[in-house]
Amino acid sequence: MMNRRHFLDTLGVGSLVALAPMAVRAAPLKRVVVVGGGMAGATAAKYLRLWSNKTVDVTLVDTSTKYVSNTKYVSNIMSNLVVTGQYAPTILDYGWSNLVKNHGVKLLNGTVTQVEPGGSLGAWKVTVTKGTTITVLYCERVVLAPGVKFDAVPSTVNPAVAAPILHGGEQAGTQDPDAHARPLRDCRSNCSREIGTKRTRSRGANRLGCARCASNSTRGVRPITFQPPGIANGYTLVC
Amino acid sequence: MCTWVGWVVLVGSLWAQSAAAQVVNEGRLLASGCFQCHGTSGLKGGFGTLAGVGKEDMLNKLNNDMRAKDARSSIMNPHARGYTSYQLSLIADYFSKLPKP
Repeated sequence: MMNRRHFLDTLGVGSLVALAPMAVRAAPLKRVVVVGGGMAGATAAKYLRLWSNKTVDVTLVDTSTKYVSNTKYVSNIMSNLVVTGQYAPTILDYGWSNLVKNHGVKLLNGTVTQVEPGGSLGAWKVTVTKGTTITVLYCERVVLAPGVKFDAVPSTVNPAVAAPILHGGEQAGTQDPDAHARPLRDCRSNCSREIGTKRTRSRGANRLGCARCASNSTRGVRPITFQPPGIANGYTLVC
Repeated sequence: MCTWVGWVVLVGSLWAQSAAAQVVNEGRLLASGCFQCHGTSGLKGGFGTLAGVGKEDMLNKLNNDMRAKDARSSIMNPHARGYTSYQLSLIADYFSKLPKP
């Protein structure tokens, strides 16, 4: 049964227009252009569609040429599970196909070269260039999510300079910069990591241990109790 | 249960407040931070399902278990400490009112 809060949630602005007697005039256009399809832009595009009950028109512009199929961006969320070696980096890859299929986001491939006031055709005019093709979009809002570009620092320019580890227990250059990951690394070098097999738990219900020797040398690793979306089988940690 | 007249009055008053978008649902906005791991709207995320979890149950867990000092090694500890009690109650309220899967 639908309670009051849920009912209100599901009421988009479009439904309010439909119910309001005075809303004879045409509904105002609600168009958004999202510039950049990384985790920020993709999230903005998804929730604009989801929380507006698809009443907001969303176009996602990205420079990637590999749209829809075989496409990916990398999200840092859940990267802690990659840092600890529990999952392969590929669990951080996401595509846009669900944005199109489930949420009706429009994709446009190209580079945004200009954003300017749109005059009578919309609040903003966004110019997208791809090769010699120029596409002009008019919209009421623009979301700029083009990503970051890192400035060069010694450790990125000179391979001899160790990169500082932000969350490590020890600083680079002092002792072992990977001290926090040592138990897992040792586990991996002693044995091997089996990919594509079902996870095995040992030493009690809440502890993920080594599937082969049942030891808990994966010290510091929290138990994994989930299956990442899109991964058929998890990893077995063995040591 | 509200009557239909009640709904009309409610919808009418919402309309009267103009279409200028306020934060429509603060609990939902805060709870969206949970969605990446716990799934959109607290469903099918791979981690625990949050949709339909009782408000008191969730608050009890967040406040008493996850905020505790001896839970510092848990990934939920920094998350639970990142919100005020009021914000946590908005989040718990939001999830408790979603239909149970």
